[in-house]
Amino acid sequence: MLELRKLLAHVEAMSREMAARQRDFASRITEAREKLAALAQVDEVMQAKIEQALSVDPTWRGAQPVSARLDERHQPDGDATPATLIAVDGSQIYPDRHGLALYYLINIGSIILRQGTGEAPQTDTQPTLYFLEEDIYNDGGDLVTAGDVNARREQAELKMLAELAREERGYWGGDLDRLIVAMTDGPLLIWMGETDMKDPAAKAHIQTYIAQLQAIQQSAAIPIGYVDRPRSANVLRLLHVIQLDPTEISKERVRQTCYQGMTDRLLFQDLKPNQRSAIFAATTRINREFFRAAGQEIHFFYLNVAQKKGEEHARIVRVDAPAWVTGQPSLLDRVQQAIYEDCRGTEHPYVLARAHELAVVTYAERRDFEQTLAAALIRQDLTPEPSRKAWLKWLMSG
Amino acid sequence: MTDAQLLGRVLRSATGVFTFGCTQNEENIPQFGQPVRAAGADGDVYGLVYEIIIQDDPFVRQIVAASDSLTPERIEDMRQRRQVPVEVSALAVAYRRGELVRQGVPPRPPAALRRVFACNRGEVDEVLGRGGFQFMRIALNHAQCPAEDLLVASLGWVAQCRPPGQEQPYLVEAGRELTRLLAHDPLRLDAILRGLADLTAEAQAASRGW
Repeated sequence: MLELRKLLAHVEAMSREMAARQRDFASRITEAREKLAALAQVDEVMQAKIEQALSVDPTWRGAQPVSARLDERHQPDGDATPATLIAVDGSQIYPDRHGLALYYLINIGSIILRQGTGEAPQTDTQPTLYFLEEDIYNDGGDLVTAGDVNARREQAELKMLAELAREERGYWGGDLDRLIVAMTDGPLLIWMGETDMKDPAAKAHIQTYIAQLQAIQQSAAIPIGYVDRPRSANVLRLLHVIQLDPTEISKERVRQTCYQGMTDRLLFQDLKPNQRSAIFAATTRINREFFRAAGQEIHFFYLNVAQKKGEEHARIVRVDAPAWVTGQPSLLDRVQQAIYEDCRGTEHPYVLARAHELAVVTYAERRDFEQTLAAALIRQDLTPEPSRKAWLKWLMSG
Repeated sequence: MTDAQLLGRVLRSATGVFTFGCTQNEENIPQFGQPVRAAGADGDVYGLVYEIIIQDDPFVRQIVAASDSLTPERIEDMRQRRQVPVEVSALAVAYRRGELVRQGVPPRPPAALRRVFACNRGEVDEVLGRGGFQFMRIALNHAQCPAEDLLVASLGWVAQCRPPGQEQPYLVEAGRELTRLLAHDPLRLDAILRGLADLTAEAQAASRGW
């Protein structure tokens, strides 16, 4: 039980702290924007500082400018042309050693919305149950972790996205004029720790993931990672580094950013509706060593998907796309228009909201599934029961 | 009305009432008073639609509130794809066991997920037109359904399914039976007879080709 009265003082302190932090950020972000404007021109000196930062700290999660200026702002001209939007999202039931049986489940929801056709979108769900020994134990003989399940879900999502992109191109008879945007909810770049990347299984995971991006490219569809309320600060880290004198660039100074606690979202809060920031490349090692080598280096930009003008209404999101997309300005404009159109009325891509709705396994559905599983186990003369701990928890939760 | 038009599937049921879900495709939503048939393992159950509820949820409200976001694709998605079904309740008034068709409360309600069809003309005439007026007593005695309006609407359906020239005599006969059933309740009787009078006038006009 949570005794709220014992927390009231903490809640008050927290709210005061947050208000103070916001005031502090508001004053510092103005200064950061001024710096961004003052140091906007991308030149050799800036590039050298970025290379130096990466050499002293190869794990530096900064940003490599792709645009000519850091303060570039761009809004596509003209009306959006109808596009096909494909979105995929996944959810899972993690393995539970206290549950009825050892298994895990991944459910992938997908939607294909063809703008301008007036047709109901095509929707589907693909649940998969993993219960074989090789599924539920890793190579070390340990029960698979939540991270393992997440990695498998990521693969399943992108595989589904690639399949749907291929089918959709076929639906349009191979017509390459039809824009097909294939969207995932979250970054397009896999997150992986430095030590994990040395693991052969992790390398295989990366290669499989990249192969799916290549498959989407072969279908002439556009893979997009859409990050709502991004917490990333890659551009602020870049801004910090380029203010340092080359002699000051050390691992410690690179990491001790003067914009601690702030996010790029604040920096770009002044974007106008349907306006995007400059384009950047993530400097993570996985992007440089794996994705770039495969021709799939991930770039990103910030976009305001709000309809109303004004910073107070701005809804800044991060959009990830491969370099072969951002390198085609007119194509990128069409993609941006398609995303913005799909956010109309919801300020979030409609197709992503629907893919999530299709994918999510509710508590009631999980309960129904486990009842079905228990009945099947009983028919096999097994005695399914949760651990005593899980059973008591269930009793006490009412 | 086409043969065996699938309307939806049973969500929940009791001996006197079954509720089924169908998509928000407007062509698929049955009408108030329409006779429907729930397919059962040991025989069909016939019902009269007396309540249609079109559900919403916060997502629908969000989309509706932002009217400029109502693209045709989103509207069709909401109607046809999202899991927010139209809930339709039908009063069980007849059932079939083998060759036997009987008006009355079925011995067993249709099970969940049984398919529900719109009755075709032949079925309506067989089960309700030639099967007597017992179904009117069931409707009048049911506390939850709006019996007066339901009977007027359902009798209109049944009359349309009678052989040519039989529509008006059928409605007159139904009126007589109602007079007997509601002899103690002149206000309810008056409400139904006024509705039937309108139907009779419409049937007369139709027979004259107006």
